Amino acid sequence: MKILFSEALTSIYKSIVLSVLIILIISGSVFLIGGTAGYYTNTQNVLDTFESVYNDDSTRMIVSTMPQRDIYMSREGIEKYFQTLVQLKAKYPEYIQLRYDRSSVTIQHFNGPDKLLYLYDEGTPVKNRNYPLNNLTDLNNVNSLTVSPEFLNIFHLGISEGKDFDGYSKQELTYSKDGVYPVILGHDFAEYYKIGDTFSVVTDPAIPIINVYKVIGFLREGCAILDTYEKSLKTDEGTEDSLIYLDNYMVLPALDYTPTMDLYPEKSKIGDFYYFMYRHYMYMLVVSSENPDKVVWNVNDFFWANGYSEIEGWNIMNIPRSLKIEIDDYFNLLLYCSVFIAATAVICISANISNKINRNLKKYAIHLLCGAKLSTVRAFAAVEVLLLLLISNIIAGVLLFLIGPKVFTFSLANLYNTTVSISWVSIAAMLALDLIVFLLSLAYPLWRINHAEYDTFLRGNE
Amino acid sequence: MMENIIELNDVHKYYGKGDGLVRALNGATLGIKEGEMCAVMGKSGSGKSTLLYVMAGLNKVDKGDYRFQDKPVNLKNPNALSRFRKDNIGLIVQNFALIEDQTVFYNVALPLKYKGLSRNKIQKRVMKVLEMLEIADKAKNYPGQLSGGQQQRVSIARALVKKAEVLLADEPTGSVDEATEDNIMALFRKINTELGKTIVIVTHDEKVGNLCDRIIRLSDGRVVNAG
Repeated sequence: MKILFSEALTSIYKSIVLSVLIILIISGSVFLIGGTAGYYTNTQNVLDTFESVYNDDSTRMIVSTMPQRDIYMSREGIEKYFQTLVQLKAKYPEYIQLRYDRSSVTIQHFNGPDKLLYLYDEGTPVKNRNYPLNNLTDLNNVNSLTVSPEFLNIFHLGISEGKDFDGYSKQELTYSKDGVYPVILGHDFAEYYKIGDTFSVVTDPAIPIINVYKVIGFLREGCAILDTYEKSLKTDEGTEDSLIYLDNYMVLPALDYTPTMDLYPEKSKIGDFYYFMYRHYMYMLVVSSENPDKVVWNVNDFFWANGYSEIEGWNIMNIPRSLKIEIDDYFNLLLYCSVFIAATAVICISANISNKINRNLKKYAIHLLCGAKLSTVRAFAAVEVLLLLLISNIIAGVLLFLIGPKVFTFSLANLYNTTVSISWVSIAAMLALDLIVFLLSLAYPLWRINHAEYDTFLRGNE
Repeated sequence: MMENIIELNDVHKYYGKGDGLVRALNGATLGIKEGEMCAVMGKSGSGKSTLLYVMAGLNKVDKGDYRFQDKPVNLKNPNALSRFRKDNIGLIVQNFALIEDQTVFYNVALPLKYKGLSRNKIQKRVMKVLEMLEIADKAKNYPGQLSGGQQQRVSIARALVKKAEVLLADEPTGSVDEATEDNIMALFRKINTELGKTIVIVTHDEKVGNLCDRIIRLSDGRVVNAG
């Protein structure tokens, strides 16, 4: 055994440049195959987690939109709509109803820079406006997400500092004239606001409802939701573009505004108030079902029966699935690269070992005449390849450990994250590659060793 | 009467195929007696070296029997041949067959490593043989640093160190000058008489042949005169 390693190490040392090159090639190949295999393992786990909430084939997020303004342009219309939602929930208790509105809110004396303000389509911020109607000045529009408290948990929107809306009672989230309500700010606001700060929010410039909000927490950096208003949800295209990053959003709890119908009776006669009411009572449904299309039909039928239309069901899984396809393509490319590099390594090793064997046949003949078995001579080549593979695997393993997570980590905001780590599948893939490289690169050299006429290398006339 | 230590019977060894087929041995039959020092002679291409390598167990044969110390040698089994070489044969060749990038000590010790001897035993045995051949001071030298005669002594030392019964030498004086040739032949005679080793020397040199007890002559792969 000692003589085998001695011979192999000597052989590697004698062709050190080529050996280092081969080691680097194999290391690269093993690194890629290990990372790719790790990815294939991890990505499935991540996707499984994602699907547990947004099941690929069984989840529909249904956003109700009701264009028939005449239906909700009255107190009766609004009350009928609320009642319809209650009936829908009663009929389908498994459906999760979430209040959800993404737009902007008007806040007074905004502390932050312009980049955190809501932008018009042309990209200009809405700032420093005055509303004579409410006698308010220095009003600035900020992106807002108004949601049911449980929305944060369902869409995995984590808090980096402070707390979320859990624990707030229905009473605390019901409108009252002097109420102070919690607000969670996106990550970018953390530089300008701190927990406990308060500010006034004009819920709608056209109606005299002004709320005071107190900062209770900040979202983690990179939190995002899928843009439910984008039609891209219906296709497999678009991933990043379909995300709404919440770093510059204020997340407001959806308040129960029904008391305002009595507090502001004179305003209740104008359409703006009802539009405000409607907007604050937009709903989305998160539904798990083995027959998602049927869910959409059921909801549609239900709303149609109650005089509403245009209920849409979108598969929100399209976006992460689309991203996964993109990442899969990327890793498939890495896999092909790995195989190509491995093939190169096989050719390099085979050529290198074969050359050495051709040079060393006389030496092998000497070993044979000294009593070595032919299998020992074969082992000289095999141990050399094994050593090259061993060194390469150690390097690849260290690289995977040190830089693998950076190279093979992909995330889609808070929705999708895959981090490669060395798993059993990685190790199995690396060993499989090693075995293939070992067998293929030794095939010709071993054949050469087996079929050499060793006496010809000892004869004086050779 | 001395017994044959080596017996070859109707041995055939071919190289190549078809039109290129070369019958290196074509029914060679001979016996080598224990303790004798004989020469195998013949023209170039007569098969004398092939015959020697068959006796050394380095060549498989296509046909024929080989008996060593009255026991059959399995000429078709590589592992059996390996054991046979390790235990019974010391081979010396014209170009010395030394590993150039290893020391004299390493070269001589190599057969003992394959025998699995301990480091101490290897050290003692190698140095004893080197002293006997008067090259102990060259133990740490590399073959390239030695003269032809010294290299041949290293080669002989390697053959002797494993205490093989038979030494086979292929043109052992082919690469040395005349004075060195005399020394080497004297050394072979000394090994033959003092250690009792059987020695077979392949040579085309009549002078070398005449220094042996017997000359076996080959032609076209057959023994034409057993001497």
